Amino acid sequence: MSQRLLTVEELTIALPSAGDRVNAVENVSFHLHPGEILCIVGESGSGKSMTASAIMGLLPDTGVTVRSGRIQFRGEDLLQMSDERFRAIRGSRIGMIFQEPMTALNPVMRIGDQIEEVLEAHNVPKANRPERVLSLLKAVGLPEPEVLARRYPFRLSGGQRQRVVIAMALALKPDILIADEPTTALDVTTQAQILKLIRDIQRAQGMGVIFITHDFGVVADIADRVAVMQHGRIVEIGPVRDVLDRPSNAYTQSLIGAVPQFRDRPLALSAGAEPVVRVRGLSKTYVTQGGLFTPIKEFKALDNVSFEIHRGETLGLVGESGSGKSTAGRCLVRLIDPNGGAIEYKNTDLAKLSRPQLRPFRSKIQIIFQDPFASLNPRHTVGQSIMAGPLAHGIDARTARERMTRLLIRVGLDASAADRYPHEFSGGQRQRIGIARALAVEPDLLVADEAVSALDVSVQAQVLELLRDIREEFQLAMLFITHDLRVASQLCHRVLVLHNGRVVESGETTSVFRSPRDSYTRSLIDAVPGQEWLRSSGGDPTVRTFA
Amino acid sequence: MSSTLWRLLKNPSAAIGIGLLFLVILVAALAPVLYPQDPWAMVGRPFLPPFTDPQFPLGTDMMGRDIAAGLAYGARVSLLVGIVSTACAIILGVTLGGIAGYYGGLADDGLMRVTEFFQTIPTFIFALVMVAILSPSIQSIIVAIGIVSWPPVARLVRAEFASLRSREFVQAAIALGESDRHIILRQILPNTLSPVLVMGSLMVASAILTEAAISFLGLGDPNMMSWGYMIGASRTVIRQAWWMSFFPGLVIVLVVLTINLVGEGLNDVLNPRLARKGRA
Amino acid sequence: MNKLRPVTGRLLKSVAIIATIIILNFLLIRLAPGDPAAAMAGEAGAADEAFMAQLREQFGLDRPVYEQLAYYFADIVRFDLGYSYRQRESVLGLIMDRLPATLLLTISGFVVALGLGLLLGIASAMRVGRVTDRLISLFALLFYATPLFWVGLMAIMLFSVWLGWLPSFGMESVGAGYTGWARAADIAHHLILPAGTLGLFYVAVYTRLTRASMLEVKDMDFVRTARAKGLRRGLIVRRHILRNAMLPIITFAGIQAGQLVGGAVLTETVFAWPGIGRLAFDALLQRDYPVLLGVFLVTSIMVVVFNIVTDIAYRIADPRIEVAS
Repeated sequence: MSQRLLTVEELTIALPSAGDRVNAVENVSFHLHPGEILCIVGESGSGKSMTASAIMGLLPDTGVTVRSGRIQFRGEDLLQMSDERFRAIRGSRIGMIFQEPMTALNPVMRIGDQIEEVLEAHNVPKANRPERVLSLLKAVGLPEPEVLARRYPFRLSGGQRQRVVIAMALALKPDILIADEPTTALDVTTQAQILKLIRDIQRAQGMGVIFITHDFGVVADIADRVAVMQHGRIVEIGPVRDVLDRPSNAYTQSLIGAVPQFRDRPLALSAGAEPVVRVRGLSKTYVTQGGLFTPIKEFKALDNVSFEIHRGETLGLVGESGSGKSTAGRCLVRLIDPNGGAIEYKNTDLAKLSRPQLRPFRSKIQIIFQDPFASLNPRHTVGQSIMAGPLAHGIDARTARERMTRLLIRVGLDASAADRYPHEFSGGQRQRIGIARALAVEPDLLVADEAVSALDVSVQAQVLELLRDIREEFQLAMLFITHDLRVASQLCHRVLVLHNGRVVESGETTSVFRSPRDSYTRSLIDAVPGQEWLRSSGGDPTVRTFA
Repeated sequence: MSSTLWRLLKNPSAAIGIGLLFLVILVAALAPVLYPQDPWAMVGRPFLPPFTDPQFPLGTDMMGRDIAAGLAYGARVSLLVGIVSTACAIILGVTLGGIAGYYGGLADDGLMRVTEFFQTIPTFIFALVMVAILSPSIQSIIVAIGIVSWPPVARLVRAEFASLRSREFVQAAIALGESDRHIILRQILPNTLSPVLVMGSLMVASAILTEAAISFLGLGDPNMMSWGYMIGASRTVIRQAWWMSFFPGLVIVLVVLTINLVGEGLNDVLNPRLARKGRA
Repeated sequence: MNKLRPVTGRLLKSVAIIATIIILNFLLIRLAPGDPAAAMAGEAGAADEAFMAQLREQFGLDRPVYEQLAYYFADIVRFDLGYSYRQRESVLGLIMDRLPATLLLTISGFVVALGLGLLLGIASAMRVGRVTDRLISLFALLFYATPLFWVGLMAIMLFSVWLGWLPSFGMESVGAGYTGWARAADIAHHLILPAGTLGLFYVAVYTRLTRASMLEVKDMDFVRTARAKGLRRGLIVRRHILRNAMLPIITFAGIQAGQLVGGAVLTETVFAWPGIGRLAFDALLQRDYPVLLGVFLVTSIMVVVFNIVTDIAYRIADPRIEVAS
């Protein structure tokens, strides 16, 4: 066994006394060899990010403290080190990259200056710095380094900003790189590029990498070894193939079982002949108001999009951020007014109706949202939230209450939930409440806008299951909007791929994903992490059991 | 709401604030009982220093008026102006800000221009000019302070409404077909009340300061004794009789401080996230 | 060039604001109880019917309102702010005589407020929760609640009457006949108390704002990035926290400029400082409306100009602005 670069021994991190748990991290031990990538994987609240911050000495100063343990780096305990000595190591011997590239850079400082700061802090002579900055920008694959160095962060895309953060972390060729969910906020094609960049640099420089993620696909693609964390403890650790293919721990098994995968057989569909809704040539153009001296700018969010959805059928709307998929969903429920096209529902064009004319139709098309924390009024009880819709449509209070109780039970909650407030529920439970609220007005069409994207993988699987059940039970037509092709493949009969507001490809889900005709669709599919692992693991791809 | 009050009382500085505020309200309410004679009446020897005559513990002014009585009656003016002008400003600000924030468009543009205008002009001078032209009285002071203090409320409410309007639970309410009235009153408004309440309490404090300044400059209601007037009237004799301007000023500081403490306590209780940043 | 373009827009906006103030002034005069001519003449106008008729004729009060407004505008564009019958002098002349004193006072007050406020706010935010922070916060809370005119009076009591260190009124020693540097020193000596008084309330405001703004920025992601880079603490505070925390402070300086001018009226009254605030106070006592409205217009223009300055400062401090606007 080669020499250990970093050894974490029995690390325990205490939460502030008000928290619902005493320790964020408890008795965690692991080590890192030079030249290896160790993935720490877990769901939200598992303590994985806290562990990373502790190694970097960047724990938030809100009462979170290391209670016990050692973090040995090259024979020295980082936790016992003087501030000044630790500072000299941070950024030179250990580098770190973060989840949110949009906020990770100082907005009022030029890119080049921000990179140069690392060199300055670790005593690189001033004369050498500008050249080093340019070569770093080149090394992380950014175009026109001379121009870019003079830019401010707001001019750069998320992927470009993440490359800048990587350039800063690698500026002094550190021994260790800590990457805390560095691709979670990025689109899938950008994610693939960033993962490749990290892997390439790691191989070239022989660094040790601690990579924090929640995505087993990413783990499969880049890890040498994996540690699985739950409730602040490591429940399983070992070589990547062992953990992924022969997990010994029950929790690891359930997590891996919940990972969504591409299905290979089309979903059976007993759809009616007449579509519930027929959308033709839907368009939305945003016009920024021109001032006296500023020209009017136009942005086509949605360009001539057409589709129809039948009873009992789910149409997937997939694409990256900015593709127009959410705009389409919101146009369909008329939260946004489209500027062109028709939304035909039972011989009525909803796109042409005025707001008052639309009200009786509102109940027919419902929407569930992505963020389970923003989608419920914090001051209303769950029961009030669910009953508001039926009451607005003139249903008497008793019927509304009965319907609310029935739906709460149907979505898997207790009837007593009606009198409680949203903050008492978890993200998954709130998403169930959101579904009950939409169903309470008995819609024909349900728009699900990234409805499972904010959820942990195990909760995600349960909510998907619920959506599948209610679709069948109520014979609902559903428009399922997602950026995650694997999730779309799980649930959708047909998919529509959007790119820059236009439909680039559509068709039956498995055939589109197996043999895409459009090059953009192909690049999307190729970028999905973990495909090799999923293919190699074989068996029935939809149901995976570890008996 | 009762739980808010309870949590407020557990915050030591807010609890002291509430206690003191209660005392001030009590004194204001009982002024005619405590000091049955007119605060304008000459009751003692002029220029009587404080702590010399137990009948006039805080002394008398240059006309022989009881300073303690003046302070008690002054509390009525300060609280009245502070509370009524703030109430007017909040009603106006919430209504206009809410409409602008919810409907956007022209109403919003118009309101933004108006509030921007008020943000740019020297509002205190504007209030002075208004009181001078409307002739000094408690009504015109309240109107003037109300007019210059509603725009910040409108701005705040507008921003809150605009942000809540795009929040998903409001979007869901729109999609469910709830009426605008219902959405504004039941979904959005209750969620904007805590910042408005905090702002309102701080506005009462600044309205009291403004009233004091207006009265200090001699534009107070000639029929009502106020703290600002007491300081303004005695400032020419400050070299001989420091107490005449010292005590009213001290009372203003205490009352304003008290209200600010309550306001900040409210802020801590109602906006816990910000509060943590403020302290910890 | 690109940076100047939005400034032209800002200028147009300023012109619109000043035009609105002119209209407001016009309406205010008509809001006054009784005859506007009487209001214009003030108490000096006596009850002489012939004189009033002459005034009515002069202001075109017998013509339709929009025509009157047009006349009013035309006068102001020609820098004619009216005539003070009390002081027997043109309003513009009265104001221009006193403008330098007011500018000196408000600018010094602003510098004191911003400088000291930033210093205390930074010190407080850097030692959050400790004794220094608590003391500074207490100080800020106290002066935030203190009437400015009372601080002035108490300062006179302390520094002029009891200690005898500083002059309590006026801008210069009367009859001393100083010239050159001696005169400047004399004015500076007189300036200390008024500028300190005017500044103190706003010191409290800026201290609180700076502290809150620094704490807000301190928790942001890019500050964590800066720590991860291994920067020294001082550098993180200067380059990353403070530079971003300055943005709301600059915005606020613009917003609160109007209040500062209002504070100057009170300060000048307390210290008999020969500026337009003092002029406004005298006009108030005598109900000299032309002067009062003139002061309102001129101080508004002062604030508008100051706002243009803060706007430019903001544009320099925040590189994102040219695209956002």
